[in-house]
Amino acid sequence: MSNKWKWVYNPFEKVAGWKAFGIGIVILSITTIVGYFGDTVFYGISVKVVPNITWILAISLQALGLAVTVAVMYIAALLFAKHVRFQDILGTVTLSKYPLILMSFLSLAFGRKLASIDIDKFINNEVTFSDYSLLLVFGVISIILLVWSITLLYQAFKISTNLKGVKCGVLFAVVMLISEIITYVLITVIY
Amino acid sequence: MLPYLCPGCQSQLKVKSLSCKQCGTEVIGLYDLPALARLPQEDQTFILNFVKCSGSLKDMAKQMGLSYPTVRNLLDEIILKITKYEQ
Repeated sequence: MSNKWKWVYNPFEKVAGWKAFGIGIVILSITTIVGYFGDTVFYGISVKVVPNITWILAISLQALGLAVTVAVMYIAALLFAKHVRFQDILGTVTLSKYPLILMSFLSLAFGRKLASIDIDKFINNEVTFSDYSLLLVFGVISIILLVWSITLLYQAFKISTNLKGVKCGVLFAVVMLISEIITYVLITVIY
Repeated sequence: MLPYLCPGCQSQLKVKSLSCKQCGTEVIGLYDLPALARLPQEDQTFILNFVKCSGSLKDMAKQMGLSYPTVRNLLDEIILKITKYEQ
Protein backbone atom coordinates (compact mmCIF):
# COMPACT_ATOMS: atom_id res chain seq x y z
CA MET A 1 0.00 0.00 0.00
CA SER A 2 1.34 3.46 -0.89
CA ASN A 3 2.72 5.89 1.66
CA LYS A 4 -0.23 8.21 1.01
CA TRP A 5 -2.63 5.59 2.42
CA LYS A 6 -0.44 4.93 5.44
CA TRP A 7 -1.94 8.08 6.95
CA VAL A 8 -5.25 6.25 7.01
CA TYR A 9 -4.22 3.07 8.81
CA ASN A 10 -0.86 3.92 10.41
CA PRO A 11 -0.02 7.62 10.77
CA PHE A 12 2.23 6.85 13.75
CA GLU A 13 5.25 6.04 11.59
CA LYS A 14 5.37 9.77 10.85
CA VAL A 15 3.82 11.34 13.92
CA ALA A 16 3.82 10.34 17.59
CA GLY A 17 4.46 11.82 21.02
CA TRP A 18 3.26 15.31 21.96
CA LYS A 19 2.66 16.31 18.32
CA ALA A 20 0.26 13.39 17.86
CA PHE A 21 -1.37 14.30 21.17
CA GLY A 22 -1.84 17.90 20.02
CA ILE A 23 -3.44 16.89 16.72
CA GLY A 24 -5.45 14.14 18.42
CA ILE A 25 -6.83 16.37 21.16
CA VAL A 26 -8.02 18.96 18.61
CA ILE A 27 -9.81 16.24 16.61
CA LEU A 28 -11.19 14.70 19.80
CA SER A 29 -12.49 18.09 20.97
CA ILE A 30 -14.28 18.64 17.65
CA THR A 31 -15.66 15.08 17.91
CA THR A 32 -16.98 15.77 21.41
CA ILE A 33 -18.54 19.13 20.46
CA VAL A 34 -20.20 17.76 17.31
CA GLY A 35 -21.21 14.62 19.24
CA TYR A 36 -22.85 16.79 21.91
CA PHE A 37 -25.05 18.50 19.32
CA GLY A 38 -25.90 15.10 17.86
CA ASP A 39 -26.77 13.64 21.31
CA THR A 40 -23.89 11.18 21.06
CA VAL A 41 -21.25 10.26 23.63
CA PHE A 42 -17.95 8.50 22.99
CA TYR A 43 -16.08 6.44 25.59
CA GLY A 44 -13.41 3.83 25.03
CA ILE A 45 -14.29 2.22 21.71
CA SER A 46 -18.01 2.71 22.36
CA VAL A 47 -20.40 5.18 20.82
CA LYS A 48 -23.84 5.75 22.28
CA VAL A 49 -26.78 7.95 21.34
CA VAL A 50 -28.01 9.56 24.58
CA PRO A 51 -30.87 12.08 24.32
CA ASN A 52 -30.33 15.40 26.14
CA ILE A 53 -26.73 14.85 27.16
CA THR A 54 -24.93 17.54 29.14
CA TRP A 55 -21.56 19.13 28.29
CA ILE A 56 -20.01 17.66 31.44
CA LEU A 57 -21.16 14.16 30.51
CA ALA A 58 -19.97 14.43 26.88
CA ILE A 59 -16.51 15.74 27.86
CA SER A 60 -15.95 13.58 30.95
CA LEU A 61 -16.94 10.32 29.23
CA GLN A 62 -14.59 11.05 26.33
CA ALA A 63 -11.77 11.96 28.75
CA LEU A 64 -12.43 8.94 30.96
CA GLY A 65 -12.33 6.51 28.04
CA LEU A 66 -9.07 8.01 26.78
CA ALA A 67 -7.43 8.13 30.22
CA VAL A 68 -8.27 4.50 31.01
CA THR A 69 -7.00 3.22 27.64
CA VAL A 70 -3.76 5.21 27.96
CA ALA A 71 -3.21 4.10 31.58
CA VAL A 72 -3.81 0.39 30.92
CA MET A 73 -1.72 0.45 27.72
CA TYR A 74 1.14 2.26 29.48
CA ILE A 75 1.17 -0.20 32.39
CA ALA A 76 1.17 -3.15 29.94
CA ALA A 77 3.99 -1.50 27.97
CA LEU A 78 6.07 -0.96 31.11
CA LEU A 79 5.62 -4.61 32.05
CA PHE A 80 6.25 -6.20 28.65
CA ALA A 81 8.26 -3.76 26.52
CA LYS A 82 11.48 -1.75 26.65
CA HIS A 83 12.18 1.93 26.00
CA VAL A 84 8.55 3.06 26.22
CA ARG A 85 7.76 6.77 26.52
CA PHE A 86 4.51 7.88 28.10
CA GLN A 87 4.03 10.65 25.53
CA ASP A 88 4.17 8.11 22.69
CA ILE A 89 1.37 6.03 24.20
CA LEU A 90 -0.64 9.16 25.04
CA GLY A 91 -0.13 10.75 21.62
CA THR A 92 -0.73 7.70 19.45
CA VAL A 93 -3.78 6.56 21.44
CA THR A 94 -5.30 10.05 21.27
CA LEU A 95 -4.68 10.34 17.53
CA SER A 96 -5.98 6.80 16.94
CA LYS A 97 -9.46 8.07 17.78
CA TYR A 98 -9.64 10.32 14.73
CA PRO A 99 -12.15 8.14 12.77
CA LEU A 100 -14.67 9.02 15.49
CA ILE A 101 -14.96 12.52 14.05
CA LEU A 102 -16.81 10.99 11.06
CA MET A 103 -19.06 9.19 13.52
CA SER A 104 -19.84 12.44 15.32
CA PHE A 105 -20.94 14.13 12.07
CA LEU A 106 -23.06 11.09 11.22
CA SER A 107 -24.63 11.34 14.65
CA LEU A 108 -25.25 15.05 14.16
CA ALA A 109 -27.11 14.25 10.96
CA PHE A 110 -29.02 11.18 12.16
CA GLY A 111 -28.54 10.88 15.94
CA ARG A 112 -31.90 12.37 16.97
CA LYS A 113 -33.76 10.33 14.36
CA LEU A 114 -31.97 7.18 15.60
CA ALA A 115 -32.79 7.98 19.23
CA SER A 116 -36.48 8.20 18.28
CA ILE A 117 -36.45 4.58 17.04
CA ASP A 118 -36.88 3.04 20.47
CA ILE A 119 -38.11 -0.35 21.66
CA ASP A 120 -41.74 0.91 21.93
CA LYS A 121 -41.73 1.66 18.21
CA PHE A 122 -40.72 -1.96 17.53
CA ILE A 123 -43.35 -3.34 19.94
CA ASN A 124 -46.11 -1.19 18.40
CA ASN A 125 -44.92 -2.14 14.90
CA GLU A 126 -44.40 1.51 13.98
CA VAL A 127 -40.93 1.12 12.52
CA THR A 128 -40.91 2.30 8.91
CA PHE A 129 -38.77 1.16 5.99
CA SER A 130 -36.71 4.36 6.24
CA ASP A 131 -36.10 3.62 9.96
CA TYR A 132 -34.78 0.17 9.10
CA SER A 133 -32.63 1.59 6.29
CA LEU A 134 -31.20 4.22 8.63
CA LEU A 135 -30.42 1.62 11.30
CA LEU A 136 -28.75 -0.60 8.72
CA VAL A 137 -26.63 2.15 7.12
CA PHE A 138 -25.69 3.60 10.52
CA GLY A 139 -24.83 0.14 11.82
CA VAL A 140 -22.62 -0.75 8.84
CA ILE A 141 -20.79 2.59 8.93
CA SER A 142 -20.34 2.27 12.70
CA ILE A 143 -18.76 -1.17 12.32
CA ILE A 144 -16.39 0.09 9.60
CA LEU A 145 -15.34 3.06 11.76
CA LEU A 146 -14.99 0.81 14.80
CA VAL A 147 -12.71 -1.62 12.92
CA TRP A 148 -10.70 1.34 11.57
CA SER A 149 -10.37 2.82 15.06
CA ILE A 150 -9.26 -0.51 16.60
CA THR A 151 -6.74 -1.02 13.77
CA LEU A 152 -5.29 2.42 14.55
CA LEU A 153 -5.20 1.61 18.27
CA TYR A 154 -3.34 -1.61 17.50
CA GLN A 155 -0.80 0.29 15.35
CA ALA A 156 -0.44 2.84 18.17
CA PHE A 157 0.33 0.03 20.62
CA LYS A 158 2.70 -1.71 18.21
CA ILE A 159 4.72 1.40 17.32
CA SER A 160 4.88 2.67 20.92
CA THR A 161 6.02 -0.65 22.40
CA ASN A 162 7.88 -2.27 19.46
CA LEU A 163 6.23 -5.57 20.37
CA LYS A 164 5.61 -8.00 17.54
CA GLY A 165 3.68 -11.07 16.46
CA VAL A 166 1.47 -13.11 18.74
CA LYS A 167 2.75 -11.43 21.91
CA CYS A 168 1.72 -8.02 20.58
CA GLY A 169 -1.70 -9.25 19.39
CA VAL A 170 -2.57 -11.10 22.59
CA LEU A 171 -1.37 -8.29 24.85
CA PHE A 172 -3.32 -5.73 22.81
CA ALA A 173 -6.50 -7.81 23.09
CA VAL A 174 -6.03 -8.10 26.86
CA VAL A 175 -5.35 -4.34 27.14
CA MET A 176 -8.51 -3.53 25.18
CA LEU A 177 -10.61 -5.92 27.26
CA ILE A 178 -9.33 -4.58 30.58
CA SER A 179 -9.73 -0.96 29.40
CA GLU A 180 -13.33 -1.53 28.36
CA ILE A 181 -14.19 -3.30 31.63
CA ILE A 182 -12.60 -0.56 33.76
CA THR A 183 -14.32 2.15 31.70
CA TYR A 184 -17.73 0.51 32.13
CA VAL A 185 -17.19 -0.04 35.86
CA LEU A 186 -16.08 3.58 36.37
CA ILE A 187 -19.05 4.90 34.36
CA THR A 188 -21.41 2.81 36.48
CA VAL A 189 -19.79 4.00 39.73
CA ILE A 190 -19.39 7.69 38.80
CA TYR A 191 -22.60 8.34 36.84
CA MET B 1 29.99 -1.31 -0.60
CA LEU B 2 31.53 -4.45 0.84
CA PRO B 3 29.40 -7.51 0.01
CA TYR B 4 28.33 -9.33 3.18
CA LEU B 5 26.02 -12.04 1.87
CA CYS B 6 26.81 -14.92 -0.51
CA PRO B 7 25.08 -14.22 -3.85
CA GLY B 8 24.56 -17.97 -4.23
CA CYS B 9 23.03 -19.06 -0.91
CA GLN B 10 22.62 -15.79 1.06
CA SER B 11 24.92 -17.01 3.88
CA GLN B 12 27.24 -14.58 5.67
CA LEU B 13 30.50 -14.13 3.75
CA LYS B 14 33.90 -14.38 5.45
CA VAL B 15 37.19 -12.65 4.59
CA LYS B 16 39.60 -15.07 2.91
CA SER B 17 42.56 -12.82 2.23
CA LEU B 18 43.88 -9.35 3.01
CA SER B 19 46.76 -7.73 1.23
CA CYS B 20 49.12 -4.84 1.92
CA LYS B 21 49.13 -2.35 -0.94
CA GLN B 22 52.57 -1.06 0.20
CA CYS B 23 54.65 -4.26 0.26
CA GLY B 24 52.35 -6.80 -1.31
CA THR B 25 52.18 -9.06 1.74
CA GLU B 26 49.08 -11.23 1.68
CA VAL B 27 47.38 -12.61 4.79
CA ILE B 28 45.27 -15.65 4.03
CA GLY B 29 42.76 -17.21 6.41
CA LEU B 30 39.03 -17.30 7.08
CA TYR B 31 38.03 -14.25 9.12
CA ASP B 32 34.61 -13.10 10.24
CA LEU B 33 33.53 -9.68 9.01
CA PRO B 34 33.15 -7.14 11.84
CA ALA B 35 29.59 -6.98 13.19
CA LEU B 36 28.90 -3.59 11.61
CA ALA B 37 30.10 -4.74 8.17
CA ARG B 38 27.68 -7.66 8.31
CA LEU B 39 24.68 -5.33 8.46
CA PRO B 40 22.68 -4.47 5.32
CA GLN B 41 23.58 -1.16 3.67
CA GLU B 42 20.51 0.69 4.97
CA ASP B 43 21.37 -0.29 8.55
CA GLN B 44 24.97 0.88 8.10
CA THR B 45 23.70 4.19 6.71
CA PHE B 46 21.37 4.47 9.70
CA ILE B 47 24.28 3.95 12.13
CA LEU B 48 26.44 6.51 10.29
CA ASN B 49 23.65 9.10 10.44
CA PHE B 50 22.98 8.22 14.07
CA VAL B 51 26.62 8.93 14.97
CA LYS B 52 26.55 12.15 12.90
CA CYS B 53 23.46 13.20 14.90
CA SER B 54 25.49 12.67 18.11
CA GLY B 55 23.27 9.74 18.99
CA SER B 56 20.13 11.87 19.13
CA LEU B 57 17.07 9.88 18.10
CA LYS B 58 15.07 13.11 18.04
CA ASP B 59 17.39 14.59 15.42
CA MET B 60 17.35 11.32 13.49
CA ALA B 61 13.56 11.34 13.48
CA LYS B 62 13.56 14.90 12.17
CA GLN B 63 16.13 14.05 9.48
CA MET B 64 14.30 10.90 8.34
CA GLY B 65 10.81 12.45 8.54
CA LEU B 66 9.68 9.66 10.86
CA SER B 67 8.29 9.62 14.38
CA TYR B 68 10.53 9.12 17.40
CA PRO B 69 9.25 5.61 18.30
CA THR B 70 9.61 4.47 14.67
CA VAL B 71 13.28 5.50 14.66
CA ARG B 72 13.85 3.98 18.09
CA ASN B 73 12.28 0.72 16.83
CA LEU B 74 14.64 0.75 13.80
CA LEU B 75 17.58 1.15 16.20
CA ASP B 76 16.27 -1.70 18.36
CA GLU B 77 16.16 -3.93 15.25
CA ILE B 78 19.80 -3.11 14.48
CA ILE B 79 20.84 -3.74 18.10
CA LEU B 80 19.12 -7.12 17.91
CA LYS B 81 21.00 -8.00 14.70
CA ILE B 82 24.39 -6.93 16.13
CA THR B 83 23.76 -8.90 19.33
CA LYS B 84 22.94 -11.95 17.20
CA TYR B 85 26.15 -11.55 15.18
CA GLU B 86 28.23 -11.21 18.33
CA GLN B 87 26.96 -14.48 19.79
